[in-house]
Amino acid sequence: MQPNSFLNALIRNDKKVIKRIYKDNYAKVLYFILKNKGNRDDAADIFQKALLQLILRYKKEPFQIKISFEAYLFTVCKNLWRRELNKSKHKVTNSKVVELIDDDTDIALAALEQERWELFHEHLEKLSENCRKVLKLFFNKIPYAKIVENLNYNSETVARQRVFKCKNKLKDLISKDKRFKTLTQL
Amino acid sequence: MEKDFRLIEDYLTGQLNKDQKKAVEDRLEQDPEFKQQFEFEKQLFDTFNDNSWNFADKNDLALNSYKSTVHSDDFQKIKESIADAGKDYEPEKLNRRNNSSWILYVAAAVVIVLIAVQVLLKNSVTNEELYYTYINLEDLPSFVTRNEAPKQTLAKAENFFEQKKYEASIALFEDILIENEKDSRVYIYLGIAYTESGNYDQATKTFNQLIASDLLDAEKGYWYKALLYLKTNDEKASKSLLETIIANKYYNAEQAVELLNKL
Repeated sequence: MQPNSFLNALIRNDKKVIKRIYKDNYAKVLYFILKNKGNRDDAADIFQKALLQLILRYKKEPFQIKISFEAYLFTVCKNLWRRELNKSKHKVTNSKVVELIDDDTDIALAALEQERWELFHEHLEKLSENCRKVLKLFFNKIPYAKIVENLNYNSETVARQRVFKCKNKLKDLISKDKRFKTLTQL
Repeated sequence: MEKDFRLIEDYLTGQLNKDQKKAVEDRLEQDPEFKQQFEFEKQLFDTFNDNSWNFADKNDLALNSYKSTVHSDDFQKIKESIADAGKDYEPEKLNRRNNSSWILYVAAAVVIVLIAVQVLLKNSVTNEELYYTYINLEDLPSFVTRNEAPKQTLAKAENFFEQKKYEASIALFEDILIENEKDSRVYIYLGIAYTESGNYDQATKTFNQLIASDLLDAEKGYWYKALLYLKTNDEKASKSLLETIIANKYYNAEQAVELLNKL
């Protein structure tokens, strides 16, 4: 089955395919979540939400999955779990009063956030291997001294310039994307 | 401009003191352009930091475009089907647990005792079992992101690997190594694929290449080589590598300590 046939089957409410998706993918997601501070209930919840998110997005505007459906679904699940783990932190730092949102709205929000995540990552992939490496370290808050050591730069100044250049390139690519406006002002 | 970025960067990486932080926050309220730069930088951090997530807080317009779909009958029907399909995989229902909770507690106690006895009687698992516990095939870093064409080979190779079609994935990974810039993950996948298909010499060679490379993750080679030795039942070689990992604080040093204790 082509990746997109899965999506088409999902929005057709094809029960056989839905069962098959569970059979082929659930174990891997469960395993990942158990390994990362989650339990079985979390896994059941995340898997369901991931499928709903895909349906929602596909119904709004059909898109092409360029990798296997399994791999794509797994990425969405991983991101949803990362999102879940960060939720409490987000609520605390956000000074605004957080209104209670229902499950469906939350799925819609997560869908938007996933779209934005993909937009950012698509452009990151366009950078050179070297840029991606240094940015990855930088965004993971690795101190410059360590970056110099890891990537064999001559000095911290060189590393800083490199980060500055790569980051600007990335920002430039992202801001020129036509999806940028709607997605970054979230 | 560059100075501003430096300031934002220091703020986001937590390198400013209380007064400096306050100054940035004040400026955020007064200077819209600065605020815009700040938000963009923050989004980058939230997106690309492995432990964060870039949350959406507003944008009602985009959200509304979803809401109408969410509330459609269609969507609610599919939701039911998914919930149905998921039932087979859900953990036991809570109420059942409540009705017979004391039996469960007793059962749990018995299981714990049994496990303890088993551990005492049979003090070690086989090296092969340890290998599979620690190699953690499901958690290997994936090549999969939404990509353009050149990366398709990688995704394909990874796919073969996941389906345990190791011969096919070896062929693709070898090609990738020849053609492409080097990537530590390719060595790791290739080495494991060789291991799984019983070609231990090639597996050793592959991990040695990784270790000898100037890649950022070269040190991971030690960990996978140690596991390879475990699989081939060469405990002595495996132990010595684990000790190297621990002594140098290489990749997975903590797990190495744990594993060493089990050998």
